[in-house]
Amino acid sequence: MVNASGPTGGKIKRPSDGKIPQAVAFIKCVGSRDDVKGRSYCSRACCMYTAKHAMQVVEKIPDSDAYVFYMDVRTAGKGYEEFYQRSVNAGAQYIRGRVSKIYPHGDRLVVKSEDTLLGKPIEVEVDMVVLATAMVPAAGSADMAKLVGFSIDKDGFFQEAHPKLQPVETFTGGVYLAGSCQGPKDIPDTVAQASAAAVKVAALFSKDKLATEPMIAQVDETKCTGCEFCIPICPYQAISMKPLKTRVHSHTVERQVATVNKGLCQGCGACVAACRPCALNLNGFTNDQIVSEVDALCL
Amino acid sequence: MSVETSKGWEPKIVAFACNWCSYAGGDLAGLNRLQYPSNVRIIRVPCSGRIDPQFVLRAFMMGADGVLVSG
Repeated sequence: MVNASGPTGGKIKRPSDGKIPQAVAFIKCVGSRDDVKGRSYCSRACCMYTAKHAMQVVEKIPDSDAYVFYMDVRTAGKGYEEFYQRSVNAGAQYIRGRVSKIYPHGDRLVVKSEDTLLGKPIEVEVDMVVLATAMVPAAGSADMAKLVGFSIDKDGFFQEAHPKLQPVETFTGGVYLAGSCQGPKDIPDTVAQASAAAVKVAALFSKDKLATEPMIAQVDETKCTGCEFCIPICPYQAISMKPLKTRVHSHTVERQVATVNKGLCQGCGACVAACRPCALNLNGFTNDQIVSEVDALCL
Repeated sequence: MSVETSKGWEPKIVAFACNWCSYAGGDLAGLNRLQYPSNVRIIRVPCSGRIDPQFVLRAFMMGADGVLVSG
């Protein structure tokens, strides 16, 4: 709205009738930080943009009032607290309390709340109310996650592989996260995460050879009967058959045995559980190792 | 092999947890300093598909009161 090339030509106007508001109320944490609404998280960026909007109202409209109804002012970031103080010094009035009701009065609106710092109810008459609503995942992001094959968290944001050690990776190899698809974020944080994701991709391409996990399935060719039971089981199409020549009673016999493509195998071990002659085993999670774990834990 | 506590008898449960979801969930619980009962003994597996029915039978054979397969 304050953009000179915007819909109102740089003037702050009410969307309903185009009147210039003399008093504006900003309400923070609308639909966020509220278990009843199902969103317990903090949307993180709204404290700062509300401070910016309140300051713009006070500076652009002469003799105007800006009221900010807040739960907490969260200014974690470089220079953020100073910016918030600037908006307070510019004349934005911060009122700590949750708004209980907004009702029309003539062509104005009355905002009913409580000032928890003064410990008494408060009513202000304003021309416009601006809500700082919860940042929510984009519509269709769940379908997108299903398509690419990564998980979403309880709030619908994409789940990173590890909250501290792998904040841009997903569980799907080669897919990285940047920005508010992973959680509410402001622009500096999004740029930082996107830069990290870009470097991760560049690191992937900088090598001639791709290092894979050592935990992959291995075939004991002497035990494999060539039943091909493992081929449809493998979700990564990593198993195929190959001919194997063996000497049996001074004759050369050719038979088919399973072979695992080391690049495709992701080490899930589904084939190992399905292998009837126990010819397949998973490095790092062999049958013997898991049975030993079971034995040790049952003591 | 049951756990004897001051509260009386407690079952001992062997949990097979998938590395990518259940085990990651357990890891997240640890990161958030959440407690879970010590009578659940977790075995990390790369995928719930890795679990051979024999592992479950082995756990019962060795005296587990319950087996949790999660993935």
